[in-house]
Amino acid sequence: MKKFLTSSTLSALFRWLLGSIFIYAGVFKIADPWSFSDAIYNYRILPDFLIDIFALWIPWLEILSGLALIIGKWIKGGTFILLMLIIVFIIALGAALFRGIDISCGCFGLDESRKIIDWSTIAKDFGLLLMCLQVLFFDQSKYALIKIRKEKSVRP
Amino acid sequence: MRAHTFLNMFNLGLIKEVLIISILALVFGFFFNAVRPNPMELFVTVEINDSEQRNEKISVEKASALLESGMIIFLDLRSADNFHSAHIPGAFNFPFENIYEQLSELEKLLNNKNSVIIIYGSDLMDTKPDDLAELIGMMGYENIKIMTGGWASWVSKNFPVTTRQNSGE
Repeated sequence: MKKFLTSSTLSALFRWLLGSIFIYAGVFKIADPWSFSDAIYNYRILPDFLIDIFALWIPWLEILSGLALIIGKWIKGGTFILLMLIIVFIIALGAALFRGIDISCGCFGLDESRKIIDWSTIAKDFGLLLMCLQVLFFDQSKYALIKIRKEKSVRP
Repeated sequence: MRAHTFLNMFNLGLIKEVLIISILALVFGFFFNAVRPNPMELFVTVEINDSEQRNEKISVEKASALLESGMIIFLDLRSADNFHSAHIPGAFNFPFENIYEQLSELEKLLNNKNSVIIIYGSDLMDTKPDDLAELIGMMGYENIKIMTGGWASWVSKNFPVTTRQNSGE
């Protein structure tokens, strides 16, 4: 069991999963930065002048980090950024729930924007957090796109 | 297979990667916002309507405190009938309906720079004070405040009033 949890194959699976989830989330937010800006505003954590900057910045952080995980370049950096983002999301969600603010998550832009947050949203984030930690500690960049390409080019 | 220890995870390489991705993300964010057909406007400050900015509001509590100092002049914009049945002590009646007939009188009061002029209507929903404030603003005067809640709010707080009986009219 321990061997399975610390295996680089599992890391590779988590990398592809995390990468796709965050690219998907990022693309939706870029398509509609206004909804995301509103979502950030609703959490009532950031000062007003930072809200729009974060609304433009966070989606690209998600996409570039997601790409890093899948492509296999800057995996550690990308995973670390995702880890930080997830921690921030958990704190923001937790604070909102604790203060009893009924807001939508804003996690995946338009589609989910009408869903009201609850503790299961945080549970999902903890799942992502654990995946990030596993990747951060045990990843060997297995099945990364650049590795696959290199192997192909070496063979002939 | 060697698991990375917690400490050697935070090496220069990681910090470099984090910085590169963060800065790229910020640049991409601003760039793609700038080139999209309907960019999100950044650093927008809410513009306050000129007349709103010029005409400050004052609460009935503050107005009553000023009344005792004698530094203010009240203008009652309600009808003459309402004014004569009761009004704030020392107030002048300027029924808004025929304000143009009293303009010279009004200007005389406005030229008195030592006093703050407070105008009031019948209640919170009464927009006459706002209209008059706009007019006075256009005339170039600024020493004027609108009492929020108007006469109704003043009475509800049991502040002093001059009635037909106690003024001897």
